Amino acid sequence: MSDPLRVLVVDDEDDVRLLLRLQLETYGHSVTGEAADGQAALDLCRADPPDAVILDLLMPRMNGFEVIPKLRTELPAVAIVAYTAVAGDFVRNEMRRLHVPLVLKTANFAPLDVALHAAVADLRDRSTGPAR
Amino acid sequence: MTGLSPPVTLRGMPVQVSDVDLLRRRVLNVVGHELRTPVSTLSGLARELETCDDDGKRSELAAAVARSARRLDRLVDDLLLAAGITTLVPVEEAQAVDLVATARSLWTGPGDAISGCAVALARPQVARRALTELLDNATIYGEAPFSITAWATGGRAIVEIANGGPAISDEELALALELFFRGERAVTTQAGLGLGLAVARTLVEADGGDIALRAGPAGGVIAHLELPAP
Repeated sequence: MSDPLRVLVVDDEDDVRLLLRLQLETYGHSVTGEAADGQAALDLCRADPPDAVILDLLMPRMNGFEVIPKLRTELPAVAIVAYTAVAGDFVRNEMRRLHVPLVLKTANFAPLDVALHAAVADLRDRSTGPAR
Repeated sequence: MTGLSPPVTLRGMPVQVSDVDLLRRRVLNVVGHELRTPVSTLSGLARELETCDDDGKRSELAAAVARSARRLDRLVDDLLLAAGITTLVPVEEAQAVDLVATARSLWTGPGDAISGCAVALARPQVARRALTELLDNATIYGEAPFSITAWATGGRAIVEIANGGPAISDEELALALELFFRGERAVTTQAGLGLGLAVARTLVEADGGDIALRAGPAGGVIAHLELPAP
């Protein structure tokens, strides 16, 4: 099993959060908290910065698109993985532009696990690598 | 046989085939999006349930499986209703329904937001469904202050649900009760089919009532529900 991560789960659906929590625990990760909207996610990240955030994009109050630039500015060491049911061209292009990995919601956690590790490794490489 | 296709119409108005194609693709896109979350969640929960040996977690998972299944069930009901297939419309008889008591049972905000009284002659499931949609719509897309006011006049039982928040354009309000319409804010903040209000209006109209939306005096929306009084 690869390195365990501390992960914040952000999704407005209770059952999606429950499933992600159980899947993360099965894969050896710990869940630092759960948030149902972007503002709650920011508050939890500020209080206890995780290694990574699993971020739903469509949420009430503050959506995922609005959270990403705020997190990047305030907590650049927190990796972000966007997690959404369906991604059309707009979402794919927007996540590519923001350099946020995108994973589609499925019953299989493995692709999300891979994306979480890759996003965290990428951030660590950037912070320890030579200045460009 | 003339070789000419009959003109394509939508609600009696001629439309271009390209418009119909666009509409069809939009509807399928929305339906696919909405089905994907509960289906993938249900599938994932079932997998966890199969391998979980912790009794506490198993009951939590079983409850979540049941919730996701109910959500899918309601989604399919709504799609059938939207398609004009009315076999799922409740078969119960109209009876006296206390709209304020029903609203109180559904409302999770401050109790003093609700005032007045109104009793309707309707099928209880229809009244409950209409109030559920209107209250959800107010709290999900609107902001405080909220008010739920009921009264009876001229043989009609009326409930108005008002919420604050940004002003909604007249164009959006005019379309909000149409099938598959999703408002500007809804598209970026909330998954959904855009069926709830339209289905609620269809059911309410079948009981001799109506649902209408108008802009609030200082922003937000006022939703108007009326049903026949006993």
